[in-house]
Amino acid sequence: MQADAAAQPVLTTRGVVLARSGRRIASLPDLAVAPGQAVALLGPSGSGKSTALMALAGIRAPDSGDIEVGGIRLWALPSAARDRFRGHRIGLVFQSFHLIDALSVAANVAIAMRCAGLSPDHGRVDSLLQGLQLAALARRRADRISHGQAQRVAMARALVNRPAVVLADEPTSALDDAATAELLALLRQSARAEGAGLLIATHDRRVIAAVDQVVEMKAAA
Amino acid sequence: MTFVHLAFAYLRRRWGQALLSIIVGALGVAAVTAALAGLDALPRAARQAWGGVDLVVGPKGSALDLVLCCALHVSEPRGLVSLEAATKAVGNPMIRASAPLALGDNVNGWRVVGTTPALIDVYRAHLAKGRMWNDKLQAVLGATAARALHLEIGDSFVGAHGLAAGGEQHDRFPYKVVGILAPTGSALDRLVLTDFATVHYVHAEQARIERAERGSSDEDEGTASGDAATALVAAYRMPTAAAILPRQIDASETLSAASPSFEIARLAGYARPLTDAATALGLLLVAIAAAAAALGLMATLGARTRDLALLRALGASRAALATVALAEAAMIGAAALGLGVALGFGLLAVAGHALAQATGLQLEPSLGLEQVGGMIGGTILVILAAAAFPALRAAHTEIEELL
Repeated sequence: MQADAAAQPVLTTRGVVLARSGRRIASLPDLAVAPGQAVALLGPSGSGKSTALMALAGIRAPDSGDIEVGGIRLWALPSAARDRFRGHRIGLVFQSFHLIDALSVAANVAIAMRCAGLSPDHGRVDSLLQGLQLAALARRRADRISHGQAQRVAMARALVNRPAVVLADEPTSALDDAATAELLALLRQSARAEGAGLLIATHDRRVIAAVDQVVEMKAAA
Repeated sequence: MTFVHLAFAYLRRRWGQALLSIIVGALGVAAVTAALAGLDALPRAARQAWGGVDLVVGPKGSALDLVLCCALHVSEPRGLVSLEAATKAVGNPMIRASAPLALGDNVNGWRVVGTTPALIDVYRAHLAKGRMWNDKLQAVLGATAARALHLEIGDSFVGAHGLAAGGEQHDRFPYKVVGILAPTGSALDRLVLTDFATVHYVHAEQARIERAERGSSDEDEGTASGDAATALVAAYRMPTAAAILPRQIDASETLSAASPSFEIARLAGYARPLTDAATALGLLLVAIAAAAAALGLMATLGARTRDLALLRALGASRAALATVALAEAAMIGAAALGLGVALGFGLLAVAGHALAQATGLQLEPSLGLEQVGGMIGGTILVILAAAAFPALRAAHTEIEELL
């Protein structure tokens, strides 16, 4: 399960310190996630994982340090450009998937292309849905699919723009062991197939067995 | 998949609320449309109906009655005038053409008008078929009357007493159709024309027969003098005549002059407060619909904060989020505008049909370019007003809401 060590990292962090409301809460160990590599960012609730994820996604600035995605210094980009960059190069999988109930499965995936300023590529959407065994559900509304199917739609949405890195926030919470194993396998396999790095922020130690590297969050000194 | 598609999907999810906003808005737009389009349609229908008639000379009384009776042919005559006096009153070089009218009979509700061939000149009409009359009991039919009565050249028909169907038939005095006029769009199309003397002849002869049957010997009983006319209609040669002739005629002791354009403008002026009230009601309904749409959007935005934050997380700009709210309001506004205009014209079509049945006036409502521009511009403003706050709120959604 080792990624190509020679490949340029798709996500690197150096000396990132995270703050909330002006107070330093955690420091992020330096990371270098290669294409196809899966890394778990492990820590208990309140350890700053979500704040770290927001910094890595270009949503909330770190107190200090550097974050590079696909060779681009994320926090050097102006706000609007950072939004576009996130849409294009960073795939996000949320804890409760966050699908838009009013849209179909296919539209939930396609809208990620529109949000990133790309023209929707229906062939790309169809092929991802096919790969995740969702083709038959493409036209079904998102609020009419099962929990497991929603997980896979969220994955397709995160991968549709061929991101450099996929950031997943507590994807296994509230899943039993079998479902956790299945989800992690699918997430790894899909990210690797797209050549994307995978970083999973979690408190769930079951994730450890499914990733290439585990990084523990440290509380700020 | 675009943000407009997303807005439509949201609208479909709350279709009941959206439909209510659309219906209230459409009712408002319909009221405004009916007021704006109808305001001008009635005078226009009247203008088309009176055709080339610039002046009606009749007995003293209401000028509006004279116009309604003898230019538009929608009401009953109020009295008679001396043909000699009326002819003398319009004997002026400023008059291009004039013709007397003798009303009193009908054919299945279509007016028989005793007149002279000069009436055709007043209306600038022409024959489509046949010829003008050259003897008593010959008739030339207006295009609409001929079609409705299924009469052709050479056919015969009998008139009946009075201007509405159902009067006593003059069975012994059948008319022969000798000509049919080309359509003019005016009241002339609805008339059955015959020689002026014919109307007097039919009534005099009918009265004589009835007297004979009753054994009466009173020669004047039930007949009007051959010099009597319901009115005289005239067309001006020059516009200045409008400023001089009516005043001169009104100065006479027995005659009254009426200008169709002046009287109908006056009538439309009376109707103005009604159309203003309809417009105000319409605008109020539009405002209520806009407020309902805005409140609906605000309410649903609260429930959609998560979706909007997601779109931001996926890279959508703040402007794109505002677009979603704006597009929803725009769809409601466009649907209300389209439905409202259709409804407004539908109402006017029903009213127009009823008016045509009752009077023959053809109501053809239309909106001018300026009015259409005003309604579209107004709708855009209402949409912007309704969507402004929801759009701002959407644009300020923070991604942290998701994590």
